[in-house]
Amino acid sequence: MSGTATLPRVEVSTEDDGSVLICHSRRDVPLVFMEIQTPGGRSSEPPAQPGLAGLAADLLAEGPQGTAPEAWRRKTEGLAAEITCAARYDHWAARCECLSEYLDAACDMLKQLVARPGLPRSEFKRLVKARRASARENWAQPMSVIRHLVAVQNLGFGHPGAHPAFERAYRRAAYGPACELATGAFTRGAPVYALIGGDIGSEAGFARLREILAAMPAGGAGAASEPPVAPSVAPVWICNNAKVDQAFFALGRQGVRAGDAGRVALRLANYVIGAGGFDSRLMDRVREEAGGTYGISSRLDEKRVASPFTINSYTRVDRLREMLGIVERSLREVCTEGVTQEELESARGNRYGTLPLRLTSPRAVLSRAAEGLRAGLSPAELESDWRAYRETSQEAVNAAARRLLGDLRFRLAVIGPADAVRDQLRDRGDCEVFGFGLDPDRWPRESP
Amino acid sequence: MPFIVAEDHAVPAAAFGIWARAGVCDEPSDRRGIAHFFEHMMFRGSEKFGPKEHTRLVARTGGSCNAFTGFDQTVYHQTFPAVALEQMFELEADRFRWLKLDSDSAAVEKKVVLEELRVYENQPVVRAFRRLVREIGGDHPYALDPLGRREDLDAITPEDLRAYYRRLYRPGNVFAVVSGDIATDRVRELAERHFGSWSDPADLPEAGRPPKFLPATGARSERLSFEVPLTARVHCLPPSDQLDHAGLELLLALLADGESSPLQETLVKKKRLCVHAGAHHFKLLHGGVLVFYGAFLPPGKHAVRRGIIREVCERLAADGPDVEEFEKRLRRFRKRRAAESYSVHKRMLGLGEAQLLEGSYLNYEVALEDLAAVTPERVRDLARVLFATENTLELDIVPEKTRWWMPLAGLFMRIWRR
Repeated sequence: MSGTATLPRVEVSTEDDGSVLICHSRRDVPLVFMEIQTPGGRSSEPPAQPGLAGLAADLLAEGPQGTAPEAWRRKTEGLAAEITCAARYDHWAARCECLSEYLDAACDMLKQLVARPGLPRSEFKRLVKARRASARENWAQPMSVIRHLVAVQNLGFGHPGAHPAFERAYRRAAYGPACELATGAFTRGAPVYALIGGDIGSEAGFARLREILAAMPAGGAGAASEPPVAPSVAPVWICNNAKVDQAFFALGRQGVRAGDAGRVALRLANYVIGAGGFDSRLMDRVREEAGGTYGISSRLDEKRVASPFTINSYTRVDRLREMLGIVERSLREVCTEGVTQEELESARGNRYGTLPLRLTSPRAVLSRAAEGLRAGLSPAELESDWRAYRETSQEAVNAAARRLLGDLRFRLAVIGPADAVRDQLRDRGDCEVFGFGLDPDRWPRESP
Repeated sequence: MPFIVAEDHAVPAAAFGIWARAGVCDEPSDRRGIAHFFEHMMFRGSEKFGPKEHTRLVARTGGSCNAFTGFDQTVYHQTFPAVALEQMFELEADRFRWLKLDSDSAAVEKKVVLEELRVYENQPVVRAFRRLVREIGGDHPYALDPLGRREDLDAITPEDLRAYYRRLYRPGNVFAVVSGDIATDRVRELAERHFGSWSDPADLPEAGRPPKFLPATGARSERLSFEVPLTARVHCLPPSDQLDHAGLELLLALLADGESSPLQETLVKKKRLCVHAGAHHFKLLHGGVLVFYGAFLPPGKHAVRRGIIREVCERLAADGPDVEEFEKRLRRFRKRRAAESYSVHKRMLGLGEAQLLEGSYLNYEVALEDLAAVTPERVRDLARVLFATENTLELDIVPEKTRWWMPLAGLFMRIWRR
C-alpha cells in the first residue's frame, strides 16, 4: 500500500436533540442505503425472555399501521427495495436499500415504518414458529452451540452478550411483551444514529434523515443498564454429546469493551494470537504443524457491554488433551517471549491494508462510522486508529497480548462424549457436565 | 492460458481468481477426495515460496485468499489492494507451475482434511444434506461429497497428487479472471511474464467425461438428521451449456423470489403451512437440479404442502406468468446487480462462473439484457419442459427423531391450549 492511501469519508451532523446523522456519498452505483439506529435491541429483553427482541423486530418489519402485511410486502418488493428491522445486541435498526430512482417512495416507506408500526397480531404466531424452526435446527449443530456455551460460561445467562434464544423461549413468547418492546423501539427519547449513503449528496441525504426522524414518536427510555457479569464458578463445562467423534472446545476469559484506549495494540495482538487465520500463531501450531484441526481462531469482540475474549476450535476426541496442550504452550510463549518482529509486520500490514478493502460499499462505511461514534470515537479517531496500525510498537503489542491472555487461566467449554473428554481434563479443576440438548437457561449458574 | 479482465476503478481493490477444470468429476473412482486434498496442498509451498508463505504474503498486503473445490472445478481466489497485483501473479504462477508436493506436508495436510471431513459430518444438518444428495443422485460423481471418502483419503499418496497435478493443472485446463482497479495492458504484460512460457504436457491420456446427471424421479420419503420436516419438489436441469439461463432465472424469481412470490405467499403467508419456503438451482456442467421446498412445524401433512408446490409450478406451466410480474422481477435483478458492483470479488466470481458454466464470461456482463429479452411464453415453455412428470421428484423429508405419535401429540397440545 502506498503511504497516501485514504479511507472513505463520512460527513456527520449532530442535531439539537442529540441525534447524529451520518452520510457517505458515492454516486457511481444507483443505490441508496439508509438505516435508523436507536438504543435497545437485545439488551432491552427481560432476562427470562431471550429472543423477544428478535420477534419484536420481526413484527416491526411486517409494515406500518393501515397497510396489510401482504400489501406492504408487495409494495416493497415491487420497488425492489429491501426494508428490514433487526434487534442487535445494543440497538434497534430499521434499514432500507433501494434503487435511487425509487428513493422518494422507499424513504416514505421507511418513515411510515418507524413512525407508525403496525405490529399485526395476526402474524405473531407465524413469526414465532419460523423462529422456533430455525432455533431447533441451530441448537442441534455443535458448531453453533459452542459459541453460546463460551459466552454464557464467561458472562452468565441473561447478560446482553450471553442471552441466546432457543426454541422453548420462543414457544413461551407472548404478543403483548413483544409488542411493548417493538412500540418503544423507534422513538426519539434517546440518542438516535441515522445513516444514509450511496447515490445521494450529503445535503439531500441529511434532509431525508431529518424528515424520517421528525416522524418518529417522542419518548423511550433507551437501553437498559448492563447487568453484572456472572461467570461460572467451575472452570470447565462439558456438554455431553455422544454422537460426535470430535471435541469442540472454546477457551474464554474477560475481554475488552468498545473504545478501549489500547484497542489498536489489542487488535494487533489478537491477530497474531489467533484472529489472523493462517497468519496466526495458533493456526500455525495447531493446524499447520500438528494437523490437529481444520480451524482455530481467537475472537476479540469490542462491544459496549462486556464480552469474552475466546479461542475456538475442534479436534478428534482422543487428541483433545494434546491440542489443548499445544494451544496453552503457544499462548504461554506469546506471554513470555512476545510476538516476533515478523508476526508484528504481518499484523500491521494486514490490519492497515485490509480496512480499505472492507469499506467498499456505503453500508460498510456507514456501519463502521456509526459503530465508532456509538463507542465515543470521532471519525478522525477512526482514521488515526487506522494509521496507528503501522506505528504501534512491539512493546505495546506484547503488553496488549499479556493483557488479553492475563494469567493464562481460561474457562474451558467442551462439546463431546463426556467420558472420553473428562478423562483428558482431570487436572483442570471443577467440572460441570450436562447434556447437549439442555436449554441454556438451565446451564450451570454462578452459585455453586 | 486465457485471462479475462474487468476494469473497475471505483475503489483501489482487485480480485484475481484461477479456475482449474478439476473437480470431483475428474477424480479417479478409487481416490475420492483428491481434488479437495490437492486444493489444500496448493497452499503448502512451491518452488519460490515456502509452505506457509502464500496466505501470509497475501494477508500482509491486507488481502485475503482462499479456494473451493466443486464438482466441475477448483477455484483459487484472492482479493487485495490493487497495487499488489504483480505479487499475486508471482504467487499464483509459482504454485500452478512449480508446486512442491512432499510427503511430510502431505501427511500433515491429510490429517487436516480428515478433521475437515469430520467436522462437517458432526453437524447433523450437513450430514442429512449429504445423505439426501447421495440418495437422489445415485452413482454419479455429483452425488458424492467433495471432501471425499475417508478410506480413499487414507490411501492417497504423494505420487497420486503429482499425477493429478500434471493431468489437470495445465494451461489448457485453466483460466483466470482479474477484476478491479487494474489496467488490461498491465494484466496482459504480467500474464505473459509469469504464464507465457507455460505449456501442456505432451503425452496426456484422453480424459473421460462423466455421464449426464440424472437424479431420481417419482416420489420418495427420507428420514434424515434434520430437526425440521421439509417437503421438496426437485426437477432435473440439462447440462449448463444447454440451459436457458436467463429463462431459468426468471422462472425461479417469478415463482419463489421474495415474500410476495406465489410459493412463499401461498405456503408461508396465506395458508401458514410452512415457516420457510424457497427455491434454489444447482447449475452444473453435466446436468443439475432445480429445487422448490418448504420447511414446517410440527411434523405431518406432507401431502398437502407437496400438493401446493405442485399446483404453483403447474399453474405457471399451464397459464404462463403474469406479465406485470416481469417488470417487478427485472427491477429486483437490477438492484441485486447494482449491489454486486460494490464488490470486485463478486464480479470476479460471476465472470468466472459464466465462463465455466455458460462458455462465455460475456454472459455475466450482459445478464440484465438477456433477462430483459425473455418473454412470458419462453418462461412458460421452459416450465413445461422442466416440470414434466418424468423430470420431477417429489420428496418428503422426515426428521429422524420423529415418532409416529408426535403429530398426534402436537394436535392434542394445540386443542388443549385453545
